[in-house]
Amino acid sequence: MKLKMFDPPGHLPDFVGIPGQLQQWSKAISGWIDGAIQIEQGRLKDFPKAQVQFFNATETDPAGLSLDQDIVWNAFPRTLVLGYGKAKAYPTSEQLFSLTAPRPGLPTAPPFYVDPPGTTMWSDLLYRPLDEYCEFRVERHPDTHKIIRITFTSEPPEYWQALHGDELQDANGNFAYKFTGDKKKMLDLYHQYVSTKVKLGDLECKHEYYYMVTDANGKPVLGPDGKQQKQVVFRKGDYNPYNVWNSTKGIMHLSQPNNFVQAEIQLAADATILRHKNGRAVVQADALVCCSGYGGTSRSSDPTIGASVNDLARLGAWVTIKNPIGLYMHDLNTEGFTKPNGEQIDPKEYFKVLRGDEAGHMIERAVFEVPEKEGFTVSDLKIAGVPITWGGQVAEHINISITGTGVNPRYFNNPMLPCATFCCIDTDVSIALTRVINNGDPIPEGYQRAFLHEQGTFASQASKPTLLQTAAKEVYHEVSGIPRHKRR
Amino acid sequence: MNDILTTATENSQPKTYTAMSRLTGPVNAGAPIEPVLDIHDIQGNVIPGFNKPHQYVLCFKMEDARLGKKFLKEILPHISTLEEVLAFRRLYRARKKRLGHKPEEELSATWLNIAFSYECTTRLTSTAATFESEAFRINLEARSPLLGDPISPDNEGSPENWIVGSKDKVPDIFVIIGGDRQDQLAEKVDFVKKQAAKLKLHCIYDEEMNTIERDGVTGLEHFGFKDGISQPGVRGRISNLQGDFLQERYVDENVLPDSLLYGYPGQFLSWPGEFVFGYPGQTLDPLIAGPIKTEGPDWTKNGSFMVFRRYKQDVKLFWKYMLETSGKLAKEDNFTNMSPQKLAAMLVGRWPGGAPFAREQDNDDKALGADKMANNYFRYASDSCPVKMVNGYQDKYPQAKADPIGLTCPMTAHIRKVNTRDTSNDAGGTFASFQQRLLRRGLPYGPPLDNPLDPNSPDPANGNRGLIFLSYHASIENQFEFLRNRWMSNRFTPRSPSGDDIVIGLNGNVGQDSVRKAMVFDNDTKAVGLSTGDQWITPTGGGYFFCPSLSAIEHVLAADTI
Ligand code: HEM
Repeated sequence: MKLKMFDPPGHLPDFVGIPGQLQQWSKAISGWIDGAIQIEQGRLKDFPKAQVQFFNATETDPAGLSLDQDIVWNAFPRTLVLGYGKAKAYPTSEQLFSLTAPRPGLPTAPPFYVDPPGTTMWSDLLYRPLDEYCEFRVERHPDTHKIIRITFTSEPPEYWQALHGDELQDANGNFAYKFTGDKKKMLDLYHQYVSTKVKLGDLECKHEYYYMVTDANGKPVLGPDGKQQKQVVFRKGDYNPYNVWNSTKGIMHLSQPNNFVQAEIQLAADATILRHKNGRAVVQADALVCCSGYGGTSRSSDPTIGASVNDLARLGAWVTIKNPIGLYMHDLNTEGFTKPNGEQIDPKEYFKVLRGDEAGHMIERAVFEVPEKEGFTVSDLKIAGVPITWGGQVAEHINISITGTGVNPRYFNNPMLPCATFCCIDTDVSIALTRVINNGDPIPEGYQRAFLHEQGTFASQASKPTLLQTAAKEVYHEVSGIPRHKRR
Repeated sequence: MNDILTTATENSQPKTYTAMSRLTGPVNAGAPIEPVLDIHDIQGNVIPGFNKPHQYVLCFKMEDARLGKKFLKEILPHISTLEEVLAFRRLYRARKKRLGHKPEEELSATWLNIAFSYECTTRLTSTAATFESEAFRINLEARSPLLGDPISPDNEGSPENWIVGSKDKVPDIFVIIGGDRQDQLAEKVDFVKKQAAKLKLHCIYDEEMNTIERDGVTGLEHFGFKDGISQPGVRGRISNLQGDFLQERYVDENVLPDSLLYGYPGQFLSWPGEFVFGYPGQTLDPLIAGPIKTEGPDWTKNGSFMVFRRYKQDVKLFWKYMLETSGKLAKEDNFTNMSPQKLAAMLVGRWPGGAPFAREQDNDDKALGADKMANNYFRYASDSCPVKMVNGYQDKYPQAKADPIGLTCPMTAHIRKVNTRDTSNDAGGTFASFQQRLLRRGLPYGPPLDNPLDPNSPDPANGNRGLIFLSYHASIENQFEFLRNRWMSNRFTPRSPSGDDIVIGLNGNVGQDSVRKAMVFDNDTKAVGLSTGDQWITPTGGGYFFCPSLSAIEHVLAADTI
């Protein structure tokens, strides 16, 4: 049976009662999936018999055995751990970064935005460098600096833009899905969860946010009028996901610019494309991220999501992300968390789920704090004998997840495409694969090419799949469905 | 049809590695340059491992640091190095091959290694204060809650009741001695005990360990499973010669990338810095060496952290569950030939004889279990197929099929909970398959039960049996504790759908009564839940130690600086 409609993340209830809101959300998710499928079709266009394995459950009902796979990863950013080591990763994870600043742990990655000449519009906006689809904010006592509470969220920004009644962009970055929204409801939620001091104006863009479009070499891209093209990101009056109550003064939803639902959908769709290198399937997760060009290479999440999806795709299955599509905290494991008296803590008392579906492992918002009756603080707790001094120490015991569904294995026998991108490493800088480069681009100085030869391929070649040697040239950045301003 | 994977056109001669082979792996263009290991400085149980059938653990309290230093000076010449253990192993193997049986009557050795607690190192040198490892500094008892250990004081497994490693029973010095022959071993143990006593090292715990052999299967642990099969391969050379690798490589050099990734087929090679300080560790590309791994004091070069845990095993209780539950599954669900052994094999991930469940689901193929060229060769993410090998070996056993969801070999199986091999996991990609690895050097203590499946089988030892678990690595936190806490005791990692490590996991989560839950699929891909609160494993002690290089012992720990 086809799915009737896509539900809001974690079945969050706020859209209920807003005219057309639930339908529009479903339409947007459906549109993002279709946009992603279209992009994959483009990749397979030289092979008429090939069919995209990623499917839209509201439009396609592939009959057959259906298997769910929870894809699980750790909440604490591996990017920071690989880039700085644990000791420095903890404090870095609690800092905020300007959208125009160099990206922590990713020395060769360009900043998310460049201010248009004469403005500081993006420099003024701050985000959390927590790129595993889970973000947290640590509140400390102003005098003792002891941790009072840690608030976690996995709510995507799109949900809040929709609640505000904005128009969301499609896979190509065009404004396409206009929501009714309910500003009052949104403000009430901010009052309930962040602060009673929040005013609607604090949450809205006071002016247009845009950037001037450049090509891969940084040269201006001209529009039909002969002037440099301008890409609008937020219109004046739109909801501002980087507002102060979701950055310096509070936390309401995800803010790291790659943490959003559309990115998750595109990544899963991209990962259904089979890849080969010199005739052998590329399956090793890290090599595949480099070869396919999806996602962030140094995260825990993206290589694992991609490889898990690709595993299902190589079985010849239809693949999709299970409804409701969102990003979720799955669970917190408190084994080893002890009180000052040495007793283990009971997670039910210390980790309070405020939004989302706890039983269904779709947690959207949760708070870690000591119950008042205990009379001590989070910093008085220990994990394996070590006092909690950073939010990251708790975050690293949280699992984040999405659920992939594979249907009717062995249905597809799709061709394998050659690699679209590659990676390199400078071990003096980091042990991570720090950058995905378009085929043909030069390697930055000091870097060596990763996964040389066929080193990223572990699969056997028992069956004889079709290998496309000269597939449609994939210019990764041009065909990626992620709106340009949100690319990693 | 040629489904043997090779890109070679010419047919190279099969070769065998002998005791004197100095070219033990490919040196082709793509092969990374591997560091030369200080083979005379690294203790031999770290690499390549004593691997002796009879071993003995001695734990001491050091009363006086000055006398302790004297003891170290005396014991120093008795400490066995990587070089000696490796040379002996290669000779032993060559001799065994020609004889057709074990040569222990004519060829035997007794090895000794030593390790120190943090406390102890600080008494022997002021430089120990710069150790960074939090776990090492605060030691096992303080870390125990993280490891699923029971906390209730009336549980035998709570630190309260440990035989060694808690309160005033925390050892300063850990000595392990291994031998081919029990008489020679006993002699050495006696010697060490006497020297120690003279110098006021008080023996607070000692235990004998013996390998178990049954029905022709060697290297069993008490539940009856062949252990010590899967170990990470350690990269590195033993001399300046190109291709003079510590770990022999068996895949033909033309089979890329396998020949560069594996020692034995299926055995991923890791950079030595993940196990011994002073060498490069991993990067996200397994063939690119990372920065040199270091830890605190300079003298940690060529040393490793060591975890010692004494796990008591309740063998009867384990098999009682397998008997009852397999009977229930046979009745209620659709499994082919369900039996206690099969259920246990599903939950361990290997048959008692060692055959991987991923390759063989119907019977305990003992030949496969014993065959080093095949018993560790399987993947979970995609089909495996035979590869061309340097020695002309042909793998005739059934190959493993892609099983990313665990429909065949359950994700809850012990070996899938501690090594995800080629599948991605919650820690990101497959990095953990190279970095979160252990050099396991454990051996059983206590006499085996004659007939584990018979609840009435007499047990003169009264349940006193289990595993002396030993592991060596560069990080206690990121290797041993990671596996124990982040994977074995977590129902959802490293991959889902999963469950706890029902066999070895302990589940120390509050409110869960130590109940472990697991999930397996039957032939109709129906998910079948399993659960038990039985305490099959009881931790009864242990400790965190540092196993230094010989030069560090000589020039720092034994040196007269105080
Ligand atoms: C009484 C306790 C334990 C018993 C009886 C036991 C038993 C086994 C057995 C039968 C195997 C399969 C043989 C092999 O692949 O070598 C195995 C593998 C393994 N065990 Fe355990 N084990 C115990 C505790 C632990 C603990 C505490 C850890 C880690 C913290 C651990 C880590 C491993 C690893 C890493 C492997 C190799 C898996 C692979 O690479 O496929 N084991 N164990």
